[in-house]
Amino acid sequence: MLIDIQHLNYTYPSSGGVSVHALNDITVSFEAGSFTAIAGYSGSGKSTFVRHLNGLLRADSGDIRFQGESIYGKKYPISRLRQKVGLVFQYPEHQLFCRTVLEDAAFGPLNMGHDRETAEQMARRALERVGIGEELFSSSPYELSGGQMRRVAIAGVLAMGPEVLVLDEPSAGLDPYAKRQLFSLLKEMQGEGVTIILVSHSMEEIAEYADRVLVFYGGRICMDGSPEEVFSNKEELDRIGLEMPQIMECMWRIREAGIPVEGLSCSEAAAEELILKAMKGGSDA
Amino acid sequence: MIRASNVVYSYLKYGRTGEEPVSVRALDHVDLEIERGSFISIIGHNGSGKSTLAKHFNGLLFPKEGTVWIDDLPTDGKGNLAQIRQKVCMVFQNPDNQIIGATVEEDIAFGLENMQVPTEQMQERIDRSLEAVGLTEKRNENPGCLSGGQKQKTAIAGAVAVSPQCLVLDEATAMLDPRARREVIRVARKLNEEEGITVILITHFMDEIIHSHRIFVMDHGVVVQSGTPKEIFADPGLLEQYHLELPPVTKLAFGLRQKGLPLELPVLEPEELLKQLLRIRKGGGAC
Ligand SMILES: Nc1ncnc2c1ncn2[C@@H]1O[C@H](COP(=O)(O)OP(=O)(O)OP(=O)(O)O)[C@@H](O)[C@H]1O
Ligand SMILES: Nc1ncnc2c1ncn2[C@@H]1O[C@H](COP(=O)(O)OP(=O)(O)OP(=O)(O)O)[C@@H](O)[C@H]1O
Ligand SMILES: [Mg+2]
Ligand SMILES: [Mg+2]
Repeated sequence: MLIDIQHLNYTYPSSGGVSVHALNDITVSFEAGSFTAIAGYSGSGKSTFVRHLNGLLRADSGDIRFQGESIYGKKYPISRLRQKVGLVFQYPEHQLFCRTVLEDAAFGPLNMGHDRETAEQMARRALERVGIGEELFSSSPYELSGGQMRRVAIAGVLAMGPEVLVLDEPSAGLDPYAKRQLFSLLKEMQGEGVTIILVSHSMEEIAEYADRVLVFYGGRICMDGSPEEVFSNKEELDRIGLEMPQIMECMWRIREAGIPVEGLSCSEAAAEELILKAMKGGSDA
Repeated sequence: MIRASNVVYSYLKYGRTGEEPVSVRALDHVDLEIERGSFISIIGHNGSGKSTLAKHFNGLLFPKEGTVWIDDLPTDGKGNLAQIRQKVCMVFQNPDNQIIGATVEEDIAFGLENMQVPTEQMQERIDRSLEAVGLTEKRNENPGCLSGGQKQKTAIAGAVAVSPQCLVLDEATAMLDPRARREVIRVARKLNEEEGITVILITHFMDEIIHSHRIFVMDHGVVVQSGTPKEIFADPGLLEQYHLELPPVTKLAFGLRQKGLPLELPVLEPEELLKQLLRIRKGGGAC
């Protein structure tokens, strides 16, 4: 197992108000080369969880093993973990700080000990992969549109060539085309053996790209399965305040209304077929 | 309510020190009119100029050429700025830059004070707007200790509480879960319908804009299309050309029609698809 997490607990120190037990006894593991999505309502603990994966936050109790070794061990090199497990923050502004886009994307590789030329080479390649053109390389990251900024933030992490890529709501603010581009890139990286863990509020994109979805609820993992399994459990989704992808919701409603579609699906092609079949099945005259 | 005529805006990019700044045109002769009391949406690819345009609506940016009028006030930077900001309230893409209070509640109160809302009305407005976005339990929390979505909700609650004549939401829902997103759109529609507030919604979620009175499509600084949702979503090719897409149910309905189901297109909501399917079954003449 690539990442093995046992009984993780984390409580934010209170800010005058009540302290928040943001992670409650989380036990979960991730296989190398897997593609996992994390869903859950606002404040359910998703960002808190992913910030533990590269050691940015330290659990109050419990353990995280990366490639068999506890990252909380006394001599464990956290800086090397940060290179192997790349984390893209929820707000890209929080991780952009250099004067130009190119310098920003080259920062990680430089920090890893590459010379400037190699680092810039790696940065260029990463920027290209997220669709940021040469013309923006010398812009300040703060002179970009929201979606452009996010892509630069992703490139900065990609440039380090991480083994695990953790992304906190990476598609927020991206236009539909850029979203598709990002996900085909992530799929490509998965094909190269990179493990992908991402937080998302888009059930559509989870259904289309992830192999597994974890649902957070009140600091716990309350669902864990394939997108089809998780999303077809309407009762549980209602309880925890999540929604089905729109295609599946259509099918669910159609079935509820008495048109006999056999099964639920997240995929458009499958939905099309099932609905056509049900409609051909004759009318209830 | 808002009229833009021939608006051109360019940013100066500085980049590396020592180099001459480059001028980048972000709005290229934009004309548009937004009627009082309407609910309109602006969509377009990353960098198409949506936020730049929105910042012209409350005098954060001024046109380099052309004019923007808020009611009959031109936003020329000459003195009527305070009046304009009273009328148009904006929620930005990144809430970090606009949250200033020490607690969620104080942050909202601060906005109300700025708008000179009488003190005796403040508490009720705060309560109502917190309730509307589902943030009541975090009211005494330090905004720095909120999750990403909770921060967005704080910013939205702040704008809703002010109840301005015109509310601009610039990707204000980008980090909300689907239910919260739906709730925010519901609140915006309610403000629009019941209080006549003009709503301008900028978003990449196509399912949020299906109830707008009008949609404007931007591409490289130009408003390239405008129309009702039915008009805009009637042509999948058009949206793709501008890096946009149809809502999933609309796409599904297109597919079903191609395979022979006599659906009236475009279909914008699951409910509508269901109604049409039931009608077809009743009619018996499906396939
Ligand atoms: N402060 C700035 N300085 C220089 N250029 C800028 C600045 N802000 C935006 N730009 C540029 O202006 C263009 C329009 O940006 P704008 O933020 O209006 O796009 P947008 O449609 O809101 O995009 P997004 O969907 O990514 O938020 C982009 O090419 C962007 O790089
Ligand atoms: N710095 C902090 N200090 C105190 N409490 C915090 C802090 N950050 C988050 N919290 C609280 O911890 C809980 C979990 O927050 P987290 O950011 O993990 O949520 P999330 O699932 O990522 O939500 P979102 O979808 O809105 O990003 C929330 O109730 C939040 O208020
Ligand atoms: Mg989060
Ligand atoms: Mg923008």
